[in-house]
Amino acid sequence: MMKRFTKSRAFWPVCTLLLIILLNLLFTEGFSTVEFRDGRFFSPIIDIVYRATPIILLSIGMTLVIGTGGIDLSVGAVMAIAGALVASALGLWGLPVFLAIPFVILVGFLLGVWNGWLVSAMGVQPIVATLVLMTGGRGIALLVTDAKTLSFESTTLDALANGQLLGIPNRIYLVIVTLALFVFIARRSLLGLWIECTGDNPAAARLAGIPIHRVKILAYGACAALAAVAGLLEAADIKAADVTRCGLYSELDAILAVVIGGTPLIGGRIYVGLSVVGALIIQSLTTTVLMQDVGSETSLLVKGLAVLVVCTLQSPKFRARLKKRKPKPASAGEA
Amino acid sequence: MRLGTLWQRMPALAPTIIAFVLLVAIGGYSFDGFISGPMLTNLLTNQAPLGIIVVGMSFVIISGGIDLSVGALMAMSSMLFAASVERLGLPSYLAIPFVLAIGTLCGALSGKVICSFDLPPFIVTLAAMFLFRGLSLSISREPIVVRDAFIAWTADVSLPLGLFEVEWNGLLLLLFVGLGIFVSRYTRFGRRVYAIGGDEAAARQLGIAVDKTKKRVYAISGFCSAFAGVVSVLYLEAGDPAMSAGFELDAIAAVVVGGAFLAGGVGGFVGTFLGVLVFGVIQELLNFEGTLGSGWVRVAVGVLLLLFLLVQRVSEKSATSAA
Repeated sequence: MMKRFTKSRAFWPVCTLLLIILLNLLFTEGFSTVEFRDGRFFSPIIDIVYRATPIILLSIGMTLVIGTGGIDLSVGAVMAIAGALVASALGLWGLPVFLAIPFVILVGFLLGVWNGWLVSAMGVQPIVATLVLMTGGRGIALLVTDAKTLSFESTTLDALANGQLLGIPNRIYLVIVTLALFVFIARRSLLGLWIECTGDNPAAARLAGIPIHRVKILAYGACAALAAVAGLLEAADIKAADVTRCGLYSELDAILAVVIGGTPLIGGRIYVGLSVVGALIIQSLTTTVLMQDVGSETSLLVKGLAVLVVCTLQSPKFRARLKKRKPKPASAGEA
Repeated sequence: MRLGTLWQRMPALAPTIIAFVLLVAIGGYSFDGFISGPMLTNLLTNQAPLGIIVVGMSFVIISGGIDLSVGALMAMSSMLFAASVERLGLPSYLAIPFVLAIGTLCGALSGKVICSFDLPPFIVTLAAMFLFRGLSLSISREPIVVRDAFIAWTADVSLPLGLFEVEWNGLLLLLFVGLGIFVSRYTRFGRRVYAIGGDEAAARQLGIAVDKTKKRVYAISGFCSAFAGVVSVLYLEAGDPAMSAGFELDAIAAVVVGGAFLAGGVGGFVGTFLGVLVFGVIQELLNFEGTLGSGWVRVAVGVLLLLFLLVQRVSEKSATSAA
């Protein structure tokens, strides 16, 4: 079984994550501490997953979209819109939480449907199609909040997003449930199969009778819905909607997470779990840099280098060159 | 595909020209003195950095690639320029070539990584963006003010052209656009770029040096970004590590509005210049209005982009059905 793991796609991403955690355990003070305060566990490792939750959600959605052969640059803007809407719903319109949350997620889903429609029915390239919402969306969010940072009070939302159950933060449960759900969708459901077919060979998929337009619309819809949830979490975190900063550059982090996880950008086979590993890698790098107290510019440098290194290692051309220098029996198919 | 004369390509540029005229008309109707020399001068001056970057970006997009690192490279160049003058004591006439050389090298490096390892340009230039931004901040987290005689002198350079005076950065922008038009239409390099963008596999089989051309294209983009950085330092008299965040997307939007296809192979520099002008008019409209705020700019740009995409799709469909 060890050999199968070594040859599988999960090998490099999981090893990288374990390596980062190991280095931290060895060299960073206080990394392995686990405290129990105020009814929940505190630990840098739990902290990493806690902070990574928005990126994890985004990367799961982004994996689906990339699987169809597309990309979604608008998730950051959708996060901002979600934040603005929930702040308005709870603060200005006085909606109860159990109505506001589904409303925001629904709006997110519809925004994703818009993206999906542009890409599938109108045939617009995904980068530019989602660029429209990325530029215009943040503008809409600014208009909704009248360009102010809108604060709101909601103990229910606070408890849901920032609270804990049995000592473990709610967010961790959210991540686990979402991950399980989407891994199931990707691996065991018809939709997952259709997504992979659509991305792998759209013409063949269409000829095989797969409704590629609907598949794409669903994928983009799901991606945006997850982005809306991420936006809700961000808003709940600061108890306000900060439209200019909410989700800024998040789309890039999400794309990087998927790439590091090993899902190919051109579409086809998707690896939801590995994208989550990629998101954790990015977050743990960020947290490591923060804990080393080296400054935020270092985290940018580290992210950039990390992506380049990982992609180069994954590139077949690079591996071919490596093999030319070290002759050894060809390893069993890396697709 | 045939490039055709400008007259033959007019129909493709029609939406862009209409958008420009419409926006200017809205401005002229809403504000006194909108349609005036100073407004055009300001437009060219304000859009100069973006416009120069767009020239480089156009080459990349026509070749079928994309460069997301332009904004960050511009910021890094501005910081390098400011730091070498203020901290190393280099005179401007040495610092400027130095910065331009580094920018070109950075672009060439991106191109080399993309070609050698067959990596998607989106990801490589994205990583490069992070790297350059991180390096800019490493030089200094705060803007660096530059005091230099040459810089002070450039602030006064301008050229009277009939009704209005074009300031030096506007002149540089026009120069870059002119060079872009020339290189794309009258050099073999330009033809190769279009060929690669149109069908890379076919270009390779024709014996075109695809990799070499692609690396050069990214080097050009790097040069333009560095130049834009130098221009902004000369204008602001300071280098700012946080500048031009999001420029890359503005540049892509301008190129699309200018009629280029993101897939590559189609596009022209007159078109992208018009795209920059359209952008500029929107900015000027909001400068005149003053109170509308950035929300409306973004919505306006988003809507404009959308309309252009739809028009492009319609014209593509009618072209294929006519063929």
